[in-house]
Amino acid sequence: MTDTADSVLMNLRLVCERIANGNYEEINALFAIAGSDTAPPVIQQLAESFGSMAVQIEAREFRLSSMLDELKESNRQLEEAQRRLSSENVTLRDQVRRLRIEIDQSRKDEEVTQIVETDYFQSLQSRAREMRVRHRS
Amino acid sequence: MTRIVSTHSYRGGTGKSNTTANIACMLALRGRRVAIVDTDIQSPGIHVLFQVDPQRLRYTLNDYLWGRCRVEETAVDVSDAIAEDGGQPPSGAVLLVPSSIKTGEIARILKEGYDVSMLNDGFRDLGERLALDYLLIDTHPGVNEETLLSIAISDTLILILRPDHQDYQGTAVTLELARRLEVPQLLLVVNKVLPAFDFRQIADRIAATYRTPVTAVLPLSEDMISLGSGGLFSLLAPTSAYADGIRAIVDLLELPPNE
Repeated sequence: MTDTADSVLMNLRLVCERIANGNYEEINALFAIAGSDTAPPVIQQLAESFGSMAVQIEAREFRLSSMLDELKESNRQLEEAQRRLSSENVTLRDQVRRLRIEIDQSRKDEEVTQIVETDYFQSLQSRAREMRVRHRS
Repeated sequence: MTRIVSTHSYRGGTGKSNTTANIACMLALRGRRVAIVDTDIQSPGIHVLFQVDPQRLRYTLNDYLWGRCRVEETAVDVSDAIAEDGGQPPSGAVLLVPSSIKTGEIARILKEGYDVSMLNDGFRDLGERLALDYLLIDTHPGVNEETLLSIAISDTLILILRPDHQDYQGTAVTLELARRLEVPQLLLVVNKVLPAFDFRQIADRIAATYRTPVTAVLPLSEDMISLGSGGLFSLLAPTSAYADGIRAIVDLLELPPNE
């Protein structure tokens, strides 16, 4: 018994609609129509062409989604590296700050003068000097 | 003749007492007779490193300053602590003159003060009567009459600083005062330096800034932190960078002060 062209066409339309909705498992149904002995040859050829188009689209989509995953992963790694770098920068800045030896000379002179001018320091200074001269002799 | 060595830092927490104690032990292991005087009367602490409880002693430095005893009666032999941490008894000795840790006695000395010249006589008598090679003075941080006196009578002053802005400024003041008091030997020791730093670079920069040699750069080590005040690190870890630094200081102390 030969299927009517109408019913095969109806079937083809339904299958194509499902594939258009992203249901790639239906590709097998397309190839079933293409290989069917009972379908009119023009519909077989149409099903064959639609099938190979759908396979290429599915493959491209698969590739794209894995590329997207890779991109997301490298982005995550980049963000991680940036976090590490900025924390290393903070440490380095801190080290440089500690290495910089800044002495406020005028403040130092002021503090020294205040102490040196006291009677206590003056007498200590002369006593220390005498003591050292005594020790050397 | 007793060589007087003061250890001083402009601020607290630089590891002054720890450094002093380690220097004393290494000198004793080289056969020297050493006494440490804890003149940090306001906040004494060096006794802890030698496992001494001043409460159980008959006299402390405070008693001498109040005329209750002779200065040599305040000294306690702590050489056993060296054998305990270092595995061998020293051929020399370490004696400790602790300050009182009784709150009432600390309060009294802060309130009434004491005759600073007695401290001077005490240092001299201690050296003679105990036949000391070295008298190490662990001073109170900052500048006051006692620290100035200790600096003035010293043959060597060891100034300890950390790589820190406030320490840099304060050390410049103390160093200037020590120069005016004509201390024959001035040594800088940089302590608690993070191991990640370039020690050579730090030593060079600090020496150039102060025009004074940096004798040692001592690392801040995790092992030392975990030891706390529980012992003498240079003896427990004789091959550490810390022990090397202490050795460098002691080598210089064994030279005549004017060299």
